[in-house]
Amino acid sequence: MTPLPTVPDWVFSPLANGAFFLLLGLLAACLGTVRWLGEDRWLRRSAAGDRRWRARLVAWRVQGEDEASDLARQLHVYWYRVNSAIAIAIAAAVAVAGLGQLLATRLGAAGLVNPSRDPFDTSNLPLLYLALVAGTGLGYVAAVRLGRRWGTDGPRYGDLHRRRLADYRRFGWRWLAAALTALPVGLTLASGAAASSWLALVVPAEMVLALVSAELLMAAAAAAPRMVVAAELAVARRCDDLVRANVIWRLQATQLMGLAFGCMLQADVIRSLAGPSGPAARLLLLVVGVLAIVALVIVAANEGRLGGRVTGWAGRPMPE
Amino acid sequence: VSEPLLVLDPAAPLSPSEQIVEQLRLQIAAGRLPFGAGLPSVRQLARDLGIAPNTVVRAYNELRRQGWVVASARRGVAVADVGAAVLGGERRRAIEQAVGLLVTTARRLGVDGSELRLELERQLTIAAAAGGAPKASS
Repeated sequence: MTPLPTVPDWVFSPLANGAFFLLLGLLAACLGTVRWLGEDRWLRRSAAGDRRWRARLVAWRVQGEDEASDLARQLHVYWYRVNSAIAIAIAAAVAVAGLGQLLATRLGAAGLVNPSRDPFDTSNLPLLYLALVAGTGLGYVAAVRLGRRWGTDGPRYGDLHRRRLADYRRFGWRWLAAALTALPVGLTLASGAAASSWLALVVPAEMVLALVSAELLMAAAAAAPRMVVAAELAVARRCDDLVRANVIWRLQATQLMGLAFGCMLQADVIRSLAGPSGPAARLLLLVVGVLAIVALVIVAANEGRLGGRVTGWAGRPMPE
Repeated sequence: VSEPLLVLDPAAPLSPSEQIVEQLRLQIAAGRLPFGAGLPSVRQLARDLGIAPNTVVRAYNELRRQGWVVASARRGVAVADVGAAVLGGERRRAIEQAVGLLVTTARRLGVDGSELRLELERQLTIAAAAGGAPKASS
C-alpha cells in the first residue's frame, strides 16, 4: 500500500508562516481595494444599511423618525468608505506582520514572533490581533484625512474646545484595561514562569503593546479632523461624533477581546512553564480572562456609547 | 453637544486668521466661552479648518495681544479674565457693526425703514421659534 504523501516541513516552518501572512495580507488588501472601488454597486443593494444608519441618527437625536433619509444615505456612504479604508489598513498590517516574521526568521529570532511552527497555531493570533488594532485605528485616521475630499464644499468648521478621548469614552475603561493587563504580567512574574523561559513573557509583552497601541489609536481617532458630511454644520458635527464614537467603540471592544484572549493564552503558557505556584496563577489568569470577557460583553451592548462626555451611556438620554 | 463652533467661510472678505479672531472674540463676549475655558490646540483647529497651523498661531497671538486669551506651556491657550465692561463693549461693537451692515445693505436695495423693521421682526420670530440660537453657534 502506498503511504499517504506527507506535508512538507517547509509548510509549517516559521519562514512559511511569514510568507503565509504576507500573502494573506496582500490578498485581503486587494479584496479591500475591490470593495472600495465597487462602492456604487455594493451600496445600491444595501437598503438595510440605510435603515440602520437612520435608526442611529434618530437615537442620537440628529433627526426625527419622520424626516427624509438623505442624511442616513450620506452617512452610510461615508461609513462604507471608512470601513473600506480600515479593511485595507488591517490587510496591510497583516502583510507587514508577515514580513516582520520573515525578517525575524532570517535574523534567527523566529521564536520571538512565533514559538510554534504551525501557521494556524494560537501563538500567531496575538500578532494578527495587533494588526487588527493597528489597522482599525490607522485606517480610520487615514480615511478621515482622505475623507476631507469626499465632504461637501461648504464652509469648514472646528470645535472651540480640545477634543479628547473622554468625550467619547469614560476614562474608567482605560484603568480597567490597564488592570486587566497588569494582572497577567504580575502573575507571570510571580509564578516563576518567566524565570523558566523568556518565552513566558512574549504574550504579556504583546498584551502591553496592544493596550498602549489601542489607547494611542483611540486618542488619535478622537483627535482626528472633523468631517463635513452634511451642509448644516451642527448636524455635520453630530454625524461626525456618531461615526467617531463607533470607531472608538470598535477599538475598545478589540482591545478587551485581545486582553481576554491573551489571558487564556498565557494560562496555557504558565501551565507548561510555571513552578509549584503555577496552578493557582493559571486559575487567576482564567478568572481575569473571564472578567475581560464580561467587560467585552458590556462594551458590545453599548454600541458607540461608552459613557463619554458627548456620547453618554447607551439606554440613557443623550447628553444635552 | 450644543457647544459653539468656529466656522471658516472661504468666500468671506476677511482672511482665515481674521475670521478666527473675530469669531473667538464674539464667543467670549457672548459668554459662550467662559473665563479659563481651554481653546483647541493649534494642530486640532488647523486640521479641522483645513488651514496652515501658522494661520491659527497668528490668530491666537493677535487674541493674546488684545488680552482675550492667555497662553501657558502646561494648559495651552485659554480664555483670559476679561472684565465685564470689556465684554459689554465688545458685544456693543459687534451688534453696531452688524446692524450698520444691515442698514447699508437695505439702503443699497432701496428698502425703507418700515419694511426693514417688518423683516427684522419676522426673522426674530423665526429665530425665537427655532430656539433663538444662530446656526453657526448651535
